[in-house]
Amino acid sequence: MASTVASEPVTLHQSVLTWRNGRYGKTAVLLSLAAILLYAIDNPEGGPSGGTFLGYSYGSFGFLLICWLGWFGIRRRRYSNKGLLLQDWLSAHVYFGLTLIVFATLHMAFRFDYNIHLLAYVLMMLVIFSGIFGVYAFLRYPALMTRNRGGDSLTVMAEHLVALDLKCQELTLGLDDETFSLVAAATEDFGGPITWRETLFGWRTGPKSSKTGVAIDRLLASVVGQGALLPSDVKPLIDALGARWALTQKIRRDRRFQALMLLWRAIHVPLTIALIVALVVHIFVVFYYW
Amino acid sequence: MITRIRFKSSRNASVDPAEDVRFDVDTLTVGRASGSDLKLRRVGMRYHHAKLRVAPEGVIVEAEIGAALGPAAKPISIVTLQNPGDEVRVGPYLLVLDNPVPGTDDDWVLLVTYDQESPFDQGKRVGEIVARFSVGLPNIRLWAFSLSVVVFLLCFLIPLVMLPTTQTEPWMTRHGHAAADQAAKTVSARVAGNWSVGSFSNGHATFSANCAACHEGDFIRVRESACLECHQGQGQHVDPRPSALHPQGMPAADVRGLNCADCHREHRGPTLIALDDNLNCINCHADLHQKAPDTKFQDVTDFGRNHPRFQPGLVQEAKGRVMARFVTGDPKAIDNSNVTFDHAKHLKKWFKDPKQPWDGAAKAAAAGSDCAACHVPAANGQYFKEVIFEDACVSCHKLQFEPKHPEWELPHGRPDEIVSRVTGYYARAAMDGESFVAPSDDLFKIPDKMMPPPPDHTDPVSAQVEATMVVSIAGSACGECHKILPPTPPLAPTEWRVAPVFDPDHYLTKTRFHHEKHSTMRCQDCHAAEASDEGAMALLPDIETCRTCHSSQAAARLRVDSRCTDCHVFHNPDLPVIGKPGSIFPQAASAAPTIGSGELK
Repeated sequence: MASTVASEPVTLHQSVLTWRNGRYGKTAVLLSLAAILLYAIDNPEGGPSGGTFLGYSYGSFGFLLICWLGWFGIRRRRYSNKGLLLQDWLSAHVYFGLTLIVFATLHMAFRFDYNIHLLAYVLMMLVIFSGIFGVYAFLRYPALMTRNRGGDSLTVMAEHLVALDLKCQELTLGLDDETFSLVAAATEDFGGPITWRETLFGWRTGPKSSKTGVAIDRLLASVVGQGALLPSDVKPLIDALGARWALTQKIRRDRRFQALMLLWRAIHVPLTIALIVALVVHIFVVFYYW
Repeated sequence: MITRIRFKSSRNASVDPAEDVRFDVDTLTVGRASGSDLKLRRVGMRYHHAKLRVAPEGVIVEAEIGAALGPAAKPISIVTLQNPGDEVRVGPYLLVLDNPVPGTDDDWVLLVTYDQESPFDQGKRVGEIVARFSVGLPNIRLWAFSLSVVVFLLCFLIPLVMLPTTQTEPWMTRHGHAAADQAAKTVSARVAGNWSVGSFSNGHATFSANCAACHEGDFIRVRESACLECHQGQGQHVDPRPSALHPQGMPAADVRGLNCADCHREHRGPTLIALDDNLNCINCHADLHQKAPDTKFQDVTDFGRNHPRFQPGLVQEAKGRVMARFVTGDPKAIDNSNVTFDHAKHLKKWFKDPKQPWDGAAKAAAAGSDCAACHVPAANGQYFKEVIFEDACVSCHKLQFEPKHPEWELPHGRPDEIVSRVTGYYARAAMDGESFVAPSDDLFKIPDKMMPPPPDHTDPVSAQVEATMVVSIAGSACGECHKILPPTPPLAPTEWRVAPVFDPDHYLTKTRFHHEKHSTMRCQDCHAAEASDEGAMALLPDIETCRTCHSSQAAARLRVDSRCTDCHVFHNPDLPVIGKPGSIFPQAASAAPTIGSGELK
């Protein structure tokens, strides 16, 4: 079976969601529906809880599933093609991970008290939702990154930026000290500090209040009045500053996409390990005080 | 004075004489400005950076306002270059006093060399930008390890160490309560409390973090012994004592295998601890005949669909308070309570007749029911108080016995006084000269029954007393409601007796019924008093009456969802106490009627 699967032709760039025509998704849906149906028809003494036969079954299945899903972290580093393809693993990881919402909630029988057992549930939900975001990020951001970069790497974009800085300096050398220093400050303007707000939602400050904006305003003002600069001297500088700003924004967008594609794992992986610890404690505790 | 300015593009470059500039002025301006005499346009130069004043003693270099000379680390504002080799830094340039060029008339020669203090490194700058915008992932392994350690410590190790497993005093005492309250406020209790799988039931809310109150050991399920520490006196469910059916006692007297926790589940939140479903009952009672072939009880699965018809207990022997259970509607049912009452006639006829001296009308009107004129609810709300003759009956039933003397009345409830009181009345009347018609001898005969001989007519008082006992006591006065037993030899002719009365306050002996909870209904909705034929079970409702409103959890919609324990008790207060074989729960046992075998189906 495994060798047959491995020898099937692999389509490049196929989403993990539609991998093998959604085989693992359909299996996960069937599993979840079966769990919900069993829960609905089960009528245990004292009502449903984690301590009934079905409750123990859901809990055991959920724990084993979490361990198996965690094993993906190790499997993904192995490049051998023995057994299922990594795409199979990932597709199953995504869909079976989602079924945990059903299994764990039914295991708890919708009873939420503030205790370590709920902590395990909350950790699990955080892991799942960070994973959902990870899937979203990996499906959406690579295309956006490619479009944003226009074929350049970050280094190339940085080189372009330095070239623009030098050009700005060059064009400013003939201008007065105040203008010079404003433009010099503008070449140190990368759009302000990188905030969580920007990383998460893409909200960036506009050029108006930035040092670039101040420099451009100064240049625009300096073409009128006594001792005015020639527009032909100022325009190339304004163009260069504008281009520099646009490039800065591009780099920041790129950084945001990179961050979003990486940071969810900084939640997903550590919380998974913490979750497994919490689950072991949970299992110990419920039997310690049986 | 003539000053020659020569230029070098760097320290190691040579001077290009073609670029030499000569000035014949005393003062030269230096800067990026277009109007500067010496225009030096490099980053680091100010618009107006310095002035050069040429004097016979040397070249004085003076910084313009806002500018500085010298290296950035040691800025100066003025310097005089006197000897060849003297130098000063102006921005990125070095101004060095040079030797005159041979064959010229220059007074001073200044060599201007472009020599940045810290040259701009483009690659470094690119690296800085790349570093600024690179996403540095946190150390995921360290983060995972730290988080796991925190979870392990907070959720496992600290609670395990700090778990307050015992209280110094039992929590039930006042001091124990205070200690428990105090312990609950400690950090250890709060941390340890997080192990609890759910908040306590109402009854155990005071336990706080005293886990050991119920959990007697690690990895051991909560045992009955923990419950019995506090809950002593719980009657058993099955009678363990030897009986006719089980001379050795019931083998499964304690419903062995069942634990308190099977029906009483803790950590389900602030609610009742007892389960509110029927499953634990049905587990045994659905096929009880298979588990206990000689059981008297019929199988039951739920109230709505599969529940035996009611089997009220009827009095079989009033004096001994012996009852037997009969299926409702059983024509052979016998009630020997020894008191009769015609509900239909009273409700439909006597109570409606304004000529009757009935004094209960106001009471009935106030309660909204004629029944309430006689039946007063008991304090527990379940049943009714015993009907008292003096309260309910005496306004109509005067217990008179002599038409010539309506003022003569018999005492109710004191049968021993009747003969002496009747004798006294007639003796006094005889002494007063009254005479009464001598009774016929036939009056004292009952067919097929051995009776004492007729009275001696020579003693008219005795004859009259004996006649009164036959006519009034056994007939109109007492016999109206009571069963009266005739005297049989060798008893005296006056020894008519009122049979002992036992009027139980409830008949469905295996259940509890709360009349108070049904106060929105009319009495007649369940008790057919106005249509009563006064049969043994005339007023007792059948199961179908209850089913018009009550059903099981699944049997019918739009019904009150009724569980076994709504009517039945598991812990029978009449039976020996759980956990202490052979001991009897004293109060309940002495007060309870005995249920005979009767004619059980």
